[in-house]
Amino acid sequence: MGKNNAPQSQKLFRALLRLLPFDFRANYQGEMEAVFREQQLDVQEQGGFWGAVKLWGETIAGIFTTAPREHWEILRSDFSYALRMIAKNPGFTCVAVLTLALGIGVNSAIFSVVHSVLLRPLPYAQGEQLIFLRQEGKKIGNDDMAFSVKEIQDYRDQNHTLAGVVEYHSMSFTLFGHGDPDRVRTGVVSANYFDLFGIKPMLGRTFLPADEQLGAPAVLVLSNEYWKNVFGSDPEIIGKTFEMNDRVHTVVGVLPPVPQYPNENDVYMPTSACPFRASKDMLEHRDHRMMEVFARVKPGVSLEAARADVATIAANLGRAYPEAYPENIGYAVDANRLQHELTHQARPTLLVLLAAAAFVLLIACANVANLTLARMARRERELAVRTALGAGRSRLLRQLLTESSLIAFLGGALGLVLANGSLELLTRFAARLTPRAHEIQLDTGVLLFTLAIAVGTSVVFGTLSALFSRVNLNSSLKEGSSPVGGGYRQSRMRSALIVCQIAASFVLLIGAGLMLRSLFKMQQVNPGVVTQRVLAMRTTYNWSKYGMGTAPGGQKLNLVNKNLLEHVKAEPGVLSAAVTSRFPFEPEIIQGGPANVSAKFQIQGRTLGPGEAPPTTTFAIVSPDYFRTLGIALKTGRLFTEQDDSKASVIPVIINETLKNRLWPNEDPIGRRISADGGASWATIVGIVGDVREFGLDHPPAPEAYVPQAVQAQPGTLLVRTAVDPLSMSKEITRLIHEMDPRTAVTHVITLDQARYESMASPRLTANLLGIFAGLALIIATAGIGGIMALSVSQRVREIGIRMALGAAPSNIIRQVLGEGFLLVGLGIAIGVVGALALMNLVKSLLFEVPPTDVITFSGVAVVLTAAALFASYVPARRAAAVDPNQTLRAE
Amino acid sequence: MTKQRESEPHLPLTPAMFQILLALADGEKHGYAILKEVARRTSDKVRLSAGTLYGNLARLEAAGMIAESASRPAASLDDERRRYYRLTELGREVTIAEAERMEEAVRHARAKNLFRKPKLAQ
Repeated sequence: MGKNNAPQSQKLFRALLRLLPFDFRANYQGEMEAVFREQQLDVQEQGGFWGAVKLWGETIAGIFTTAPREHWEILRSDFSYALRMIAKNPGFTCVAVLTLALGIGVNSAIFSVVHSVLLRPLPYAQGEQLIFLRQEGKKIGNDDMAFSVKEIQDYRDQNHTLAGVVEYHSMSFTLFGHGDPDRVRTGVVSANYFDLFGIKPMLGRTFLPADEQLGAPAVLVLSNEYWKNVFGSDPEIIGKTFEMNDRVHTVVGVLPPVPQYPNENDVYMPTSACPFRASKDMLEHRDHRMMEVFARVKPGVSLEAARADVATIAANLGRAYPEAYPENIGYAVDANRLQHELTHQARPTLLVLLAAAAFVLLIACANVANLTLARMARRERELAVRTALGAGRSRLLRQLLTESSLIAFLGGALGLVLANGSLELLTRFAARLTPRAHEIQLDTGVLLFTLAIAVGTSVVFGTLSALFSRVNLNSSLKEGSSPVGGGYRQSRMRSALIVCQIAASFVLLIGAGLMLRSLFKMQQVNPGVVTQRVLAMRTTYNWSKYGMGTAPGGQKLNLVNKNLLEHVKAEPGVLSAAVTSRFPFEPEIIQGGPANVSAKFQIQGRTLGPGEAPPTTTFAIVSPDYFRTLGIALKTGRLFTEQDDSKASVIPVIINETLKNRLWPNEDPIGRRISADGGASWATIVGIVGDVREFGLDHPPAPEAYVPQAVQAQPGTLLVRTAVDPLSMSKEITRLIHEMDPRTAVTHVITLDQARYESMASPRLTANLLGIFAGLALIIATAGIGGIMALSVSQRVREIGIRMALGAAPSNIIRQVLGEGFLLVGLGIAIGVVGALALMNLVKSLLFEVPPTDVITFSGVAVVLTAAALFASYVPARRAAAVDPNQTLRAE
Repeated sequence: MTKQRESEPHLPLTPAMFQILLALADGEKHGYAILKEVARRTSDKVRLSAGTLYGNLARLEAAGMIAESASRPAASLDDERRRYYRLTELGREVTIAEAERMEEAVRHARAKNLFRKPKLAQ
């Protein structure tokens, strides 16, 4: 090694030394460099090249063995010192750990939901390739017109971008052979449906192409939930047979737990086994649309390419079959990722909650930082002594960081316990927003997230403490006299932290306040029905025995309905009863929305302009007493009577005010005729009733047309208005139904009040969660204000004593302390207002008839926060006013 | 007895520590001199690198077995970057205790005939 290399190798050696802890280097670096230089000189004199290689080898090995040992030593001593320090201050430790545990726990819990629902890939094979096709009627505002059998075949044959196309629809059938007749929600799917998703059965098999042939033996695949809940996870279930739709069905498989979309089904059957899907009408008519379509894009194909592909097919079909795609409907087909379909409803709520959780953490951190600063003030002397004894600055920072990390990790661990405890509740909450809720768990991602925020918080408040120590250490040894330190800068920083806490609490309280106000407004909405003391029971007759609709068999169903109503009405305690195809706040109807029960119709004597969309309305099929049972007001005309049946000369129809105002805004529609079957039959409007918020209190009333049960008999729900607690009558009524036909499934027993309450579950839970977060924030912030005012008072006992000796009245002192508290709150609220306004877009979509800038909420929250802060300041203020000037001065 | 009890927690020493203490037994030395002395005495069998040396010095100093010497050589011979280390009373005791421990171990080995006869005696 030549002489020229000497400075170079010294540089390299110095770089190596950086692996050692700072304090070690501060102590020995100069010496080590000198030793290394002399070793090099020796080598130059004796060893030459191989001597130099040997020296470097030994040197590198020496540093690499020494460095970790030195770091570990420091960590060990810091850790045991930190343990002693936090054990010496159990009060501080408890408060800090608990505060952080709340902050971190809330975040871990919400993050586990966000991670499982929004971030993790779908639990299907290559879930990102799965898409959902949607046929829309753009001109009539229907975003899901569904697909017909012929259309599905065309999309399967004509696409260039899809690796597979499968169909799906869901129906309810009655299943016999396992206790009482059970009404099962049945997914009717293509044979390769589960293969497309990459779902492997948990037991048995899924469907084979042979199962889908017309006339093949009927087979069933059970959903995991149904298998668990109804068959107690029976491992021998494969091969068991049940009766459905007058056919024997054999169970061939059980699904693993996977999210089911768009419905949570109990069982699945191939398309050929569904009597409706397999009917001649469905198979032959291009415009008989009932099915949903899922597809998998070919590897490497983008969503955009797939969209363009299906749009082209849609356009081609429109040209080839103009009669099936009238221009005034505005047919179009779009595709979306399945992931989006599964989660888009949950996204806004979850993001609001995540933001709220972040605010709670921010407040918790600010509070712990404040506590730490207050404690640092008391530890000032200890730290100054340690510095004087030779502890370097970085050594001190390391020490403080070790202490803060220890507290943060304890907080994090406790936080995880809290998060784990809240998981079941959160899963139930999320289940209302997304079918992915069942996947929620505390997994590695959540653990890493928790670790990251624990590290983050410990760095934040550890550095804050160290920052403060730099400010004050030099002076503290000199001052000596002040027992509780805290210079001007430090108290300013503490005040800034308090302002920060108040601002964050304000934003959270606004969020919670807006949600509560919106919930309150929702509850105030007149639903258009009287929901008290009404019982709803889904009665599913064996349709194959009674038939339905206007078909001849329908009359049998009609008779059964009539007979049932007569018996029910004769029951003591029953005020009135009706049968309906659906009822307000019915959970499944709310989920599907008005589009699912809407149809287009025509008005006699009114022709559509070129390209004009036909009118649409939702249809409900009801028995005469429906309106009386639900308390729906008749506006004009008449209600249905027993004489309104298929034998009557006129088919009557009743419409609601929304439909009237939409189509006959300035005229009386009574006597006008409409047709929903292309003019084959006409119904005459005989009455107008009040609007009902069928699809949820936050949905505007949809246009509605009511058709008499006796004309278009359909199985559905029995509604009973009672004079007593409606649920207490459900057993008796079920007995009545089974007396008439024991093969009738009675399910979905619910009161209208319950249904209405359930319909608001999602906003109510969001409001509750935000309310809990805001409540936590308020408590932490109030305690913080109280703490800082108490500290400030105890620091200024001398000053207060002097002022009182000079004649200041206790009330003046109280006013001054309260004034300081007020100033902090005022500043915090001002910043909070700006923050809340900046974040208003986040909550906008969750609010109902409350603007995100709602003045009542803003002023209410400001009052609450100010009152809490003044209350918290009042205790220290009283203490300040109680200072005895004589004693204080004597102590000096 | 007390001294023995004081030195006990530090035993056994690592070979490097023992060699460093041994090097300081006959007077104070700076780091490079310790390194040279150890290499010379062990015929280069024990070679300390700068990192190992100072890692051990730090530990010995923290344990109170060595201390920085207040006296320095004459200004003409002195390099001010150098620090001189000396054995403390505890360090001397620990070194003695370690040597005794080793001696005893050797004695046990001899008693079991676990040693090679010197070549000349063959």
